[in-house]
Amino acid sequence: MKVEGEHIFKGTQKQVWDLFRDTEVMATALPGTEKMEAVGENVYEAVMNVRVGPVAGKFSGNLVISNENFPETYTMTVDGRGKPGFLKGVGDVILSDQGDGSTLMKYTGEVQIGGKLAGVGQRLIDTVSKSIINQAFDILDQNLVERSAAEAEGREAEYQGASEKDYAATVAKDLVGGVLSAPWVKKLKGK
Amino acid sequence: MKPAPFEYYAPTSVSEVLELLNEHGYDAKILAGGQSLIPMMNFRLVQPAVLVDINKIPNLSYIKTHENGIRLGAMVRHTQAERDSLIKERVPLLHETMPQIATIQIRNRGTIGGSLAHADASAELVAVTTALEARFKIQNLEGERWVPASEFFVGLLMTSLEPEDMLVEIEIPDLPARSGWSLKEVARRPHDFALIGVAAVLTLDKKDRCQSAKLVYLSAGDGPLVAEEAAVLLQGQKISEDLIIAAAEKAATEEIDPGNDIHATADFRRHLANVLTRRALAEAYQRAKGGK
Amino acid sequence: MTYKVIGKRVKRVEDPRLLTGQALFVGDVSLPGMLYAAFFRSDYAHAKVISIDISQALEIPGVVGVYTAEDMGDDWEPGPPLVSPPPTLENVVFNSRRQVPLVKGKVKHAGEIIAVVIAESRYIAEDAAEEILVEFEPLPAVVDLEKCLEPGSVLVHDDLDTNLAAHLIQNKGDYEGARKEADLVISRRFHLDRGAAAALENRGIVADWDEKNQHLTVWDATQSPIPIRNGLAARLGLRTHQVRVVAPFVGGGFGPKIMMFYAEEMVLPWISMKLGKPIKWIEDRRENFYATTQEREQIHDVEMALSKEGHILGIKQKFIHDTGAFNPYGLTTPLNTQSHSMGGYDVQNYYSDLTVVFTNKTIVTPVRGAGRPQGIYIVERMLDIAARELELDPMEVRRLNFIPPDAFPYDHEIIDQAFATLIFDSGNYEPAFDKALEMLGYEDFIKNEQPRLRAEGKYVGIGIVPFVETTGVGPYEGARVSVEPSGKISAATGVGTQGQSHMTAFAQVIAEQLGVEVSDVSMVTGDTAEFHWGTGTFASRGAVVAGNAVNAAAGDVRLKVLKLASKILETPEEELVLEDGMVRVADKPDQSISLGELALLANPLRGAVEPGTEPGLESTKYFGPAFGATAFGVHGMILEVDPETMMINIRKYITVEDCGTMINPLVVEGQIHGGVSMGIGNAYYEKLHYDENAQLLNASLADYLIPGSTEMPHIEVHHANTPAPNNELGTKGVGEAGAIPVPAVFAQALENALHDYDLEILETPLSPNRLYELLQKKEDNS
Ligand SMILES: Cc1cc2nc3c(=O)[nH]c(=O)nc-3n(C[C@H](O)[C@H](O)[C@H](O)COP(=O)(O)OP(=O)(O)OC[C@H]3O[C@@H](n4cnc5c(N)ncnc54)[C@H](O)[C@@H]3O)c2cc1C
Repeated sequence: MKVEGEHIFKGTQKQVWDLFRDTEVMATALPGTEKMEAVGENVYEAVMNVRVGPVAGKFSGNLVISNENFPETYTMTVDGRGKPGFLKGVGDVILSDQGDGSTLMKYTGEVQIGGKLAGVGQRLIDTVSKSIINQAFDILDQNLVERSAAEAEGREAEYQGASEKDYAATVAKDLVGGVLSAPWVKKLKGK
Repeated sequence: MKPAPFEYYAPTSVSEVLELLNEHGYDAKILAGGQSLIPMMNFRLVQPAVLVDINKIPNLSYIKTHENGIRLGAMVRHTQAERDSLIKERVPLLHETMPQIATIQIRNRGTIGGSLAHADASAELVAVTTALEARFKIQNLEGERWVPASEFFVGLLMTSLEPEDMLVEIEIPDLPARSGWSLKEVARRPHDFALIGVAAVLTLDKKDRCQSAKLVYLSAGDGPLVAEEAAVLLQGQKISEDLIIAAAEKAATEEIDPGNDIHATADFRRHLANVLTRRALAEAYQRAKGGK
Repeated sequence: MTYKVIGKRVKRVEDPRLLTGQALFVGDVSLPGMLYAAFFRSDYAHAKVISIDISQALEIPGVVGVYTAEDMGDDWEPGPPLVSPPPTLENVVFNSRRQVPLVKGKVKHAGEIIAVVIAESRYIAEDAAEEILVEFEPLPAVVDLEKCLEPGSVLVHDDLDTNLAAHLIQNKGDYEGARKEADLVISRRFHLDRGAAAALENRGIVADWDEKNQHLTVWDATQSPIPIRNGLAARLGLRTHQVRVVAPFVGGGFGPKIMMFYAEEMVLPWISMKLGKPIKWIEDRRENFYATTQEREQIHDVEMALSKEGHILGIKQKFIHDTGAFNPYGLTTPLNTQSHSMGGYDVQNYYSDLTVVFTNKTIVTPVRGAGRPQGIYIVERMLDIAARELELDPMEVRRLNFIPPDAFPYDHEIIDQAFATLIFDSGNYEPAFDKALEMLGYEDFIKNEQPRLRAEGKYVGIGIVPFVETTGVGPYEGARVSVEPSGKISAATGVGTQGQSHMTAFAQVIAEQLGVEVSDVSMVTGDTAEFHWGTGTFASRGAVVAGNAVNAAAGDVRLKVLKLASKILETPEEELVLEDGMVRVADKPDQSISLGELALLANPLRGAVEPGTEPGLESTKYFGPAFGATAFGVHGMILEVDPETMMINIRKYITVEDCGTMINPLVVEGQIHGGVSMGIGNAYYEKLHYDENAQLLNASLADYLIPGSTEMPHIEVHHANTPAPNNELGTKGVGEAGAIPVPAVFAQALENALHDYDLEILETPLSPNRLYELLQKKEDNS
C-alpha cells in the first residue's frame, strides 16, 4: 500500500526536525505507544497498542532512521509484528522551509501489511491508517506550538497539557484508553 | 476461528448493565445482536475480557411516538424497524433504509443500537440518523444525557460513548412539511457494505426554493460525512438540474474523503458519489414537491 | 433405448437427511476422548524460519502437545505427486516440487503450517497457537507470472535455479503456413485471475488410531478417499487393511478436495498414532483461503488467423500458468486449457506454448472447470473480436467453424490432461446452438428489442457462447451391487459424494436394471471399508465412469438373478421380467419369485453351492474408458449495465446442455445452476486479491464475493442429447459444464451492451471498479 501526503508544521525546519527525532514526542503522537526507546544510534524499539474502536492489537518492532540529511530529508523504516499480523514500511520524509517560518513535510512510502489484518481487515485499513496519521499530525502540531512557546518563554516544554484535552475531545475515547494505560502517560501526568 | 476466553454476563436490567460496565470499564463490551462484535471476536481482533449480553433485558425494543418524532429502544432489531408501520409512516427514509442493510438473517438479529454504537462509517444507519438529526440517549451510573448525532459519531468505529455508557434510546424528529428524502448506495451485492452511499434530505419553502438541504455520505470517510458546502450551494435556491449537478460535483470532488480498498479506489468512489448524489437529490426533490 | 427409471426427474433420495440435518459430515463425528487441533500458520508468504518457541503454548492448561517439523523426524516427507509426470513429449520440462506436512527451513506461501497444537478443545488449541513465538526472516515474495522468470528473480525453491515449474509445446499442422494464407490475423493478450472454490463446507479431518486393534480410521472431507487410504498406509507403514478412510457427506468439493495430501492430512493421522487418541480438525474459512487450493491465474498471448469469410485457419498461443508454491497436481489444469483453446471448432493448425511458474501463492489445482474456462474464454473472445473486424455476424462465424457431426470421433492430434490423444468422441453442435439462439430470441433482440431499449437509454446486451468439455476420463471406477434377503439392494462405489446426487443417480441405474424402486437401493459412496478400488470424484466423471461401473455390476446381478430364477421358475430367461422387486414370467403374473427369496436361495446355509459359481446375487464390476466423453453446451444471457454505476443485472439466462444420456434431468439442471453461479462469480465477483508480497487481501467471505441468490438470474435449461458412443449408458459429464463458458458469455454481452464505448474485454474477473477504469481509459484515449 502506498502512503503519501503532506502537512504544514508551524515551525522552522530545525524545530520540526528536532520534534521528529524526540522519541518522547513521537510516543505521544502515535496513539497507543507503550514504549519507544533508542537501542542504538538511530534504531528504536517500540511497543504499540493500536486501538480502533473495539479493535485492538499489540505490535512490537523497530524503527530505523537512515539517509539523514539534516534538516531536510531522512528515511524511516519500520518493521512490526503482532498477533493480528505484520507491518513493514519504508518512507522518505522531506522537510522544506516555506519561508514564512513554517515547514512543509512531505512523506511518501510503501507500507506492507500482512496476516490477519490484511486478510480480513481490508475495509478498514486505508481509513485507519489515514486517521492514525492525521491524529499524529494533530498532536505533533500541538506539541510544536507548545515547544515554541516554551522556548520563547525560556521554560521547559510541557506537551501533555493542551494536547491531552484536545486529544480527548477530538479522537476516540477508546484511543485515549490505550494512551492512558501507557506507562509514559503516568509519568507525564504527574507534572 | 474461536474467540479468546471471556466472562459472560446476561443481566436483566439496565441498571445491572451499568454496574457491570462501571466495574469492568474498557475490559467489558456490550453484546447486542452480535453481528459486528462476534465476527471480530472470532477473528480475535477484539478480545473483550467481559461480555455483557443485553438481550435478556425486557422493554428495550419499543417503537413509539414522542412529541414531534419517534423514539426507539436500543434493542429494536433491524427487521422490526423494517416492518414497523409507525416508522413507515413517520420516518419513511428509515423505512427505506432498513432493507439495504446486510442480509435478512443479519437484520433479524442486528439491532439499531448496536449499529449506531458500532459506528461503522459504512453503516447506513450512521449516515441516516445524522441526516435526520437524531438524538441518542445515553445512560451510565451517574445519570443520562442526550447527544445529537452530529456529536455522537467521532471517528472510525468511535462514538462519544464512554466505556461505562450504554446507549438506550434513539429519537428521530419528524421532517418539516415539504421535505423529501432519498438514500442511494452502490454495493457489490445488495447485502454488502456499500462502496459508497448518500442520504439526502431536502426541505422546500413555499416558493419551491430549497429551505434546507442535508447530504450525508457513508463509506466516504471515517464517519458519517456531511457535505456542508454542497448544502450551502442548494440553500435558498430553486432546484434545477444544473444546480443538482453542481452540488453533486462539489460534494464528490471536494468534500468527501473516501479510501481505497480492493473493492473500489477513492477515485471510483468519488465518481459514484457524484452519480448517486445527483440521483438522490433529484428523488428527494420530487418527493418534496409531492408534499407531505 | 427407452428407459423406465433412467432419465426420469426423480427427487433426490439423500435430501430428507440433508435438509433435516441428519446427514453425517466430518464435523458431526464425535468420539470419546477426542482431542482438537489448531495450526500455527505463517503470515508471511516467503520467509525463513529462524526459531520456533512453543514453551508458552505448552503451559496453557488443556494443551496436550505441540508439534513442529523436527518432531516428525524421518516421517517428514513431502506429499506424493498426485498425477504422474508428463510423458516424453519433445522437450518437456517438468520440475516437481510438492507440499510439505510442516514447514522446515522456509515458508513458501502464506498459510503454510509451522506448528500444530493438540488440546482438549478447539478453543484451547487456538489460545495456545496464539502463544507460539516464531522468529521469521521475511524474504521478498515471488508474485508476478512474468517477472518471476527474469534472471535474478527471487526463487521459491532454492534448490532449483529457476521458478520454471514446467514448459511444453504442443503443435498440430503448420500455424505459420496458415498465417501466410490468412486475410486477417488478430493478436491479443489476456489476463485471467485467481478464484477460490469456496465450498460451503471447508475441509475437515477426524483421525482415530486404535492401538489395540492396530487400526486407523480417518473421516476426511475429501473427493478421493481411496488414494488417501492407500497413501496413508504407505506413509505410516501400515497395511492398507489397517486404514479406513471415510468421506461421508461432503458439502461441496469443486476440485480442491481431490488434492492430496494436504499438510493436515499427513500430520493429523501421524499425531493420532503418536497419542493413540482421536483428533479432530475442521478448517475454518480463513484457513481455507490460505491453505486450500485455488485456480485460474494465467496470462495468454494469443493469435488467430482467419479467412475473410471467418474460417479459423489457425491459432497460436503462448501462455503462463501460475501453479503457486508447489505443483503436486502436475499439468492437468494448463493441459485442459490447451485442449479447450480450440473450443468445438475445426482448427487444423494449432501451436500452443505453455510455461508453468512457481510463485509464493497458495497451491493451484483444478477448480470446477479446471483450465477449461480459460481456454473457452480465449477462443470465444478471439472469435468475437475477429467477427467485429471482419464485419461478420459473430454467431455465423461460430456456425461456420463447428466440427461437423460427421467428423466424429475427431482427433485433435495433441495430448490432453490424461496424456492420451485428445479425441472428441461425438457431438452435434449446430442444432444445439440454433436452439440457444431461439431460446434467447437472438434475431428479435438484435433487430427490435435492443434498438428499442437503446432508444430508451438502456444499455442492454446479448451474449451467446458455445463450449465443449472433455469429461469422464479414466483410469477407472468400480462398483459392487448386491441383492439382500430383504429384497432391497445395497451398492457401493469408491467415488465420494459432495452434492452430486450419487445416491439417487446411481440408484436409478440399479433400479432400471433390477426392476426395483429407487428408494429400495441403498448406495454407499466414499468409504474404503465398503469399496476400496478407485480414484475419486473429479473431471466430471462420476456419472460416466462410476455410473457405467454401477450399470455393469447391476447388469451382471441381473444376469445372476435371471439365471437362478429361470431354474426355479422353470422358464427360459428370455421369458422372465424383473419388476416391482419380483421376477415374473411374462404373461403369467402369478408365476413369480421375489428378489429377496432368490437372494436367500443364492446364499444357502447348508448344502452345496455349485462348484465354479459364487454365492449370493452380487457383482463387482469396473469401467475404464479408453478416452473421455465430450460434452457440449451453449450459454446465453441478456444483461443490462448501468454505465454510471457499473452495476449489472442479468435479465435472462439460458443454457442448452448436451451431456448425452441423462440419468436424472433434475440433477443435471442442479449441476448447471451451481456451475453458472460459480461462472458468474468468475466473471464479475470472485477474485483473490494478492498484493506484491503475496498477501491475500480478501481472506473472508465479507471481501471475497460469492454470488448468492440475489445475484443469480433465473436459468432456463434445455437438454440436447448426443449419447456418448463409448459407454453403455451413453452418459457424458456435466458437473463442471455450468461454470465453463460464463465469463466468455458475460464479456460478450457486456461489450454488446456497451457498444457505444467500443470496449474490448480481455480479462476476467471484472468488477465495477475495473469496468470503470476500462471505460475511463477509453474516454482518455478518444
Ligand atoms: C455480513 C455482514 C454484512 C453486514 N452488512 C451491513 C450493511 O450493509 N450495513 C450496515 O449498516 N451494517 C451491516 N452489517 C452490520 C449489522 O448491521 C450489525 O447488526 C450492526 O452493525 C451491529 O448491530 P448488533 O446489534 O449486531 O451489534 P453488536 O455486534 O452486538 O455490537 C456492536 C458494537 O456496539 C456495541 N453496542 C451494542 N449495543 C450497544 C448499546 N446499547 N450501548 C452501547 N454499546 C453497544 C457493542 O459493544 C459492540 O462494540 C453487516 C454485518 C455482517 C455480519
